[in-house]
Amino acid sequence: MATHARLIGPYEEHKHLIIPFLKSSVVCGSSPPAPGPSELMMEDPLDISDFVDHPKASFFWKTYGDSMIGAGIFSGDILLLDRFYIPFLVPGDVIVAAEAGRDPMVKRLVFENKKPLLLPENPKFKPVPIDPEEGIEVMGVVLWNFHMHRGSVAVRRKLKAV
Amino acid sequence: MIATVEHIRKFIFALVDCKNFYVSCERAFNSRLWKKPVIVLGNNDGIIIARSDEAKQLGIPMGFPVFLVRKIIKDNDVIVKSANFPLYFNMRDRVRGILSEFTPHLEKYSIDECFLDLTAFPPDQLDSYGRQIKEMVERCTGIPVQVGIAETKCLAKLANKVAKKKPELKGVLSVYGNLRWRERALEVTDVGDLWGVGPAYATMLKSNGINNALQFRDAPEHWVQKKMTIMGARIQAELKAIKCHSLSELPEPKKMIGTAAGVGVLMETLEEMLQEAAARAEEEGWKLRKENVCAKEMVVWVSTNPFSADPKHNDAREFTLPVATNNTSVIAKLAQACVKEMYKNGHRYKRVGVHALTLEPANCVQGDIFVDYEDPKKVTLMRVMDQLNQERGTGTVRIAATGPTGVSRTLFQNQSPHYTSRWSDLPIARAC
Repeated sequence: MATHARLIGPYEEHKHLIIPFLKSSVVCGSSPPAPGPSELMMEDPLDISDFVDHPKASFFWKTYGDSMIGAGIFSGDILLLDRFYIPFLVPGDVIVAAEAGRDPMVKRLVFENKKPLLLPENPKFKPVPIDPEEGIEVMGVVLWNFHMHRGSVAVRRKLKAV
Repeated sequence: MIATVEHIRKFIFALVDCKNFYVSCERAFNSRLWKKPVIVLGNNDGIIIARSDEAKQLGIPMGFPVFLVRKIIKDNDVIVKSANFPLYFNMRDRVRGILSEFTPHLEKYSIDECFLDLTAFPPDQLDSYGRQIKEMVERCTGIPVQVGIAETKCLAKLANKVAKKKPELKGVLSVYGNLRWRERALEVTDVGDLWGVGPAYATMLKSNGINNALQFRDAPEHWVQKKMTIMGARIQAELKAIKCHSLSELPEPKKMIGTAAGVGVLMETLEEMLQEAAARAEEEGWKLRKENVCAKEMVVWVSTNPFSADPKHNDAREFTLPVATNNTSVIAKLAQACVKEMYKNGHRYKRVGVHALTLEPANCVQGDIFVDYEDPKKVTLMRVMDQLNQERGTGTVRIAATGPTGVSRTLFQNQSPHYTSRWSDLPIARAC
């Protein structure tokens, strides 16, 4: 474990310099060598879950269809959906929304004359009207989507039901 | 300064529970279920274990066999789902995780209810805090909840029920520090709805003119204690805001683990019964191993259908194992022996039950001078079996005694995808 030393000098309140001791022993000689590798230099390896802001409010969804290819979301992609941001929607957000009795859909949210609109990202598809009285239920904000370029047999088997 | 009652900080408990939990879990991923009558079936698709509000309005009762309401289901296009516990457990963990961010003092009371200890929070802001808790859980998980806040657990549970019943409260009711609201909540609560008061006590109380919780609170204390034992006296004291029950934060070691799935089909032959006994033993063994405990005493029972006019036969056998075990084969052999003893020709059996009555921790099982400790090869076999069943789904590997197709086909005919635990089952958002 690293230990700390306090610089002893003229007392100045709130000014403490903390010098961590290096784990490797310091060799006394004419000029000290560069510090060797020490556990202090350890950084956690990267993990995809670093992209998940709110794990308890995040879900993986899947999408089929071409209406969002302009946003870089392709048929068969996996979406990372975050429900935490639902009250904090921003124009331009890609969201998943649904009406009672109908399937959830993924669309881009924009505002026109202060009214919300759900737009596709493909000229072949039409915007979705939102009933001004009923509104529409937002099920989450898409933070990321994952597109597979090459899937191993094992991964493909996991994505399809066994 | 003299310490008076007003200066002593009272405890603050909140009871947060999910509305129609299993249905809400289904709805969180499937918008086709919104605003429709939906029910969830358990016990091999036999019993109704959850209903949406729309289904409740149709008069569909809780806990009843589904075949009794077949007509209502057909006439009203009620959507029927099979229980999806992998999903429900994941959602339960999410709800608990969010609640624990409000306070680390959490009692996991049931799959969809938690008690929170809010004693450190400003008592004049409890209503607003309750609303924040409700909003956060609903937003993050999609599961609607209700919140009740009071000085004791019984009162918190009562406040929660009142919040559920009165839509104008918008799902949150705090009666803490407000005697008038507390008394109004007591008044509108039927005595049978009180936590800890079952149908037998409710009938007894009502026959003595006590119909609502307020009347119960004001009944003579010694009479309540005489008629309902100390447990009833504690309920009464808690309704007076005198704390008797504390928050139980530690996971309680399960005192009794039971398995008794009612089959969708009735069993007539001994062979079917023996297969069912083996299947129940399988489940029981898995539950015991999961909790890392062994069973020392067990009970095996058989019963016919209580709802039918067939001749009834209900019987049970208890046995003590020389060495506590959680090995499926051992339990299955003994369960089958019991069933063979109890079986009577001419009956149509509905259920076989296999319960562990007393448990011992798995790593300090008391041996017996005549019986060897568990063979390590058998322990490995059980572990591999559990692992395969976990990875590939329940029923991948079974003991031979369950029969060629496994008579206890645990029916899950209308189960929704395992949205949160299988990559192949992700909920779908359309881009078309």
